[in-house]
Amino acid sequence: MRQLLLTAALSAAAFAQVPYSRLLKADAEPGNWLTYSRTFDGQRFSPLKQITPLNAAKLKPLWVYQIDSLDHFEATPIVVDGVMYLTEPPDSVSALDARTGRRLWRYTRPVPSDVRPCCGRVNRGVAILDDTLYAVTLDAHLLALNASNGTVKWDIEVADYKLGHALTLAPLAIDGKVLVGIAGGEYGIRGFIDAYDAKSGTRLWRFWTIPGPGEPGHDSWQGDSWKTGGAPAWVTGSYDPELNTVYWGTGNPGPDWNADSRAGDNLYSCSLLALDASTGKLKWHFQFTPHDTHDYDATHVPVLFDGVVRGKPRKLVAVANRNAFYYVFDRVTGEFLSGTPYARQDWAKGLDDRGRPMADPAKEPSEEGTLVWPNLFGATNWFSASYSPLTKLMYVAVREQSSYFFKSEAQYQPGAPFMGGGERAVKGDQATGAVRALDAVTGKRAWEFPLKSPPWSGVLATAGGLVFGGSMEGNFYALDATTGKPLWDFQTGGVMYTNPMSFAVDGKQMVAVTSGHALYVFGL
Amino acid sequence: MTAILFLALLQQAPAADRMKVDWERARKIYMANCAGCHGPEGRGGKGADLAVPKLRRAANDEQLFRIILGGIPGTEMPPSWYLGQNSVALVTAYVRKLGAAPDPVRTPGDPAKGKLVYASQSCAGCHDRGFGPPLDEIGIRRSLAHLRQSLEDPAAEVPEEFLMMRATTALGKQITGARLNEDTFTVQITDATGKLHSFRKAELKKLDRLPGASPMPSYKGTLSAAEIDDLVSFLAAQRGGR
Repeated sequence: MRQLLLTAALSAAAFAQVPYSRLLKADAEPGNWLTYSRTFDGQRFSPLKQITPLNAAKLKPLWVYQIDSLDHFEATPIVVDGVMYLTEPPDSVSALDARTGRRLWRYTRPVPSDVRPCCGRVNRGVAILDDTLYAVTLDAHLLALNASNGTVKWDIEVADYKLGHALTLAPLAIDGKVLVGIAGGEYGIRGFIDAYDAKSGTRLWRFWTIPGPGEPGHDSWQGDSWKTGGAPAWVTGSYDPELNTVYWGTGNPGPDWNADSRAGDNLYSCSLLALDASTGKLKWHFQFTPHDTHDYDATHVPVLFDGVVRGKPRKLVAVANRNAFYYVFDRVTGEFLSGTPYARQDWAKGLDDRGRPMADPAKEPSEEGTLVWPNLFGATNWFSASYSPLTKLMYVAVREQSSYFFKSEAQYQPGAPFMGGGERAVKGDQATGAVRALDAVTGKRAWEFPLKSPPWSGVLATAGGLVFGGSMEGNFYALDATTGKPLWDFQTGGVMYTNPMSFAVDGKQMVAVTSGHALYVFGL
Repeated sequence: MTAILFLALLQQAPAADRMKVDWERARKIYMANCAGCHGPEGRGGKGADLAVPKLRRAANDEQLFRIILGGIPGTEMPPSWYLGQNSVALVTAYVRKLGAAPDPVRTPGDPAKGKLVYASQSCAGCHDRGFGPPLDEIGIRRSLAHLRQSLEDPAAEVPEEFLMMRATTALGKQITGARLNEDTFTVQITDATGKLHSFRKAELKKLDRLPGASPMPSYKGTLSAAEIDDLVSFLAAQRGGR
């Protein structure tokens, strides 16, 4: 009898078969979490509602999975039919029994010893399509692994890591394709977003985030600066299947803080790109921070939702940007609809009516150091915002910190840091953080929950009416999604560089989050 | 900035001795970034005295360059990678020059007498019990001027890890002490008797930060000028057995 029960339990957790049709209708599977942000729209919203404001205080740890590495553990796991797939820094992919946390297999591909990825030996997760997992490596390879045992189906080099290229994001798998964006904006790379054939690993298209000679936008770079201009694309994009459009954010131009050699707007750095998923052709773009000198990457998961703007229903895309403004666009046309500060900033005097910032020349980095809000880590960073279609609020983990920005010499050497400055902390800094709930259409603040320190953890909204988040001091907590009132917290004992997610096994809702060097799973 | 990027920077470090030093530029960078703690002439302050022929942690230029670029983990010395490697090399040269000047500052008193003053004032009663910073290496970490200031005007610069806080409980009881740790939901405070108090913030009526407050009394007036000189000498000799 015992044997029978065991067999039944194991067979319930069959290894993944995820055709594109399931990814397309991911919302119809509330217990699964099939992509980095759960759904292609990037909302990071869980429709699960077993855990509510009434019972959140009873949450307790169900299991903990520890990794061997001391690198930051930033991955969002995916969960497919009772199996959890995740990446472990710096170089492993694992499958766990989502019910117990016991490992089913682990694949490790050692990183070359001379890899120096900027910024950090991290990996943020996997993508799945059919029976294949897709993951990237710090030496800029893309891997296809058999989801049932972790064996390698193919392994291709996306770019030369010796020139400072790296890959750290969770790939985006769509119909027959796997998309990745390159990292390395501090090494004088030329950024790009690639699509690969999911079956063979053959490259289908590449979009250079810096236009080459003869292309529109090329003249926004002085001389040869475009060749080493950065504009990486190191955070996973979103996808609208109806419009067949991929939305992807790009990072800073290089050298970061010394722009003397790159006069011009430096397209398409610090931008939101709308690309045709079939061809990689640019449909529209918006540059948040032209000619950036503060390292304000726009590498965020763009959040797609529909809303009513000035009386008119629109398909929208929104980004809470590292530069401290919250932007809303029409995602069909790219029309700028609004831009509102959601955190303290003084680098710009505001946005004009087309959304272009009026940068304050007095806030340029200098040899003596210039005090600027926000600091180089921004008002938020790579960690995700979350949108609830129930409250129609955008939840954002916010950093309130300033710093002195320095400008120094910058000389390009292949494979070496190419930054031209940096920042110094403010003495006796009283930096803080918060989770802020913004009206997703207007950017108006509905509530705020203050955090002791600027966070490195994203947030997760659930249909149960909760928002989960993490703190630098290891607090994992649940807030009331309507009021921001804290309902529960747990000291995980580690620093949290992470994004929470939620899934269900056998009808039981669980919430997972990494902290320190462990993955915690909570439930009632 | 990550440690990895720092290591990458380090591998391109220019040799200071091969550089032509622009002393005015070096001075400007030092004044903007270093003088706040180490003093305008490198004679120390909150930071170590740099106007000495031999730096304890940096026997040569390369070690000094590494320390300036990467900071000293576990201390208040921050990394300065943001200056760029050439500027760090300039500062390295400048700090060496500071040390080439003769050091006119002499330890003012008698450390043996200072030890007696230390005992008579029961300094260890707090400093060995976690209610004040440990002093076993204080002679390395702080300049003479800063040690004197800490005795005469302790509130002038309170270490971040000894921020004073006052918790008011739901019943109105007040506990004042040094903050040992704090997160968004909880705070840990030690009071003057060394007793630990752990609170959930939501259960407190009020939690006040008292920046600029120090539990340490001023010894100006309490001790004679000679006694303070002796105590400063004794503290300056506390070098962690090094």
